[in-house]
Amino acid sequence: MLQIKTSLSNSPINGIGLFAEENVQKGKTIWSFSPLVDIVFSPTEWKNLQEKISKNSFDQIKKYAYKENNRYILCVDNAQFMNHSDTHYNVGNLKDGDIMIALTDIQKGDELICNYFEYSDSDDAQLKQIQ
Amino acid sequence: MLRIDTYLAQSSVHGMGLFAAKPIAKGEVIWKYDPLIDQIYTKSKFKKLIDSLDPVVLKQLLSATYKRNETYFYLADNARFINHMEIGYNIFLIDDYTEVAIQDIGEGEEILENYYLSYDDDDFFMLEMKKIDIMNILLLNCRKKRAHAPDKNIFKQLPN
Repeated sequence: MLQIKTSLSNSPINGIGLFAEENVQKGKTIWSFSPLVDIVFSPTEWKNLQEKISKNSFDQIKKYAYKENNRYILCVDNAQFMNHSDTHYNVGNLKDGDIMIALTDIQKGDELICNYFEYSDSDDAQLKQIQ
Repeated sequence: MLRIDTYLAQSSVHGMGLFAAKPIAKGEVIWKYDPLIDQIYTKSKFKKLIDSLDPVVLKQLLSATYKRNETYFYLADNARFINHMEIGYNIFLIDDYTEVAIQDIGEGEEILENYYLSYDDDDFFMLEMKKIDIMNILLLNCRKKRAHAPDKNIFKQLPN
């Protein structure tokens, strides 16, 4: 779950993006995994979901989930909208992906961008789309 | 979980809104609760959650949560971007778990509901509409809790 104030707006990178609503110092935690809020699916549960819900719904959910350490993680807050760049990213991973921190000072209004290659499994749907 | 094809875009009502990607017929089911995706919290579970989160995170959670019949719903899909409109809304919750179109909705139209007709009086949005700062109430409660015995009546203290 996001630990800083953010907003959503149209992104120059892709669709809707996530933007800082406050100045963030380098090293500050941007996001951390919250077992009470974020939803984790095993590969079997994920397959079950795909079979049980409509294609429209699954396609939408799929866009927001990522696959890491052989589990699917669905953030249920605006973190869903964090875009990817493998060259200009300002958010990085710590502790095996359970924490995301600011890699640089981030100004209010800056888009928050991470590098999906850093943590996602190689068969992650978003990664496959990028490649 | 949304049952129809939608997209997100800037809303003329508030922030991001939810729009119909295809025409929707009057009576069509727009949204139906699905335990695989949608989160339901009882009061006690929600209280536990509130106590564990810091104010920034909590505010974010609350703004995407609604309260109906003493139960907290948190939606993981784009349904949480459905905006409120008192006059001219086009969908309606016919029971706790099903929301339908009350008129034909054209492709590209924003999907809107009237929160007043569907949610409890102490829903986060309702309190905001009444200009009641729920964060102060919650924080005050947390401080009290730390200073004294755990307070199990947080929700009873919210104004009606």
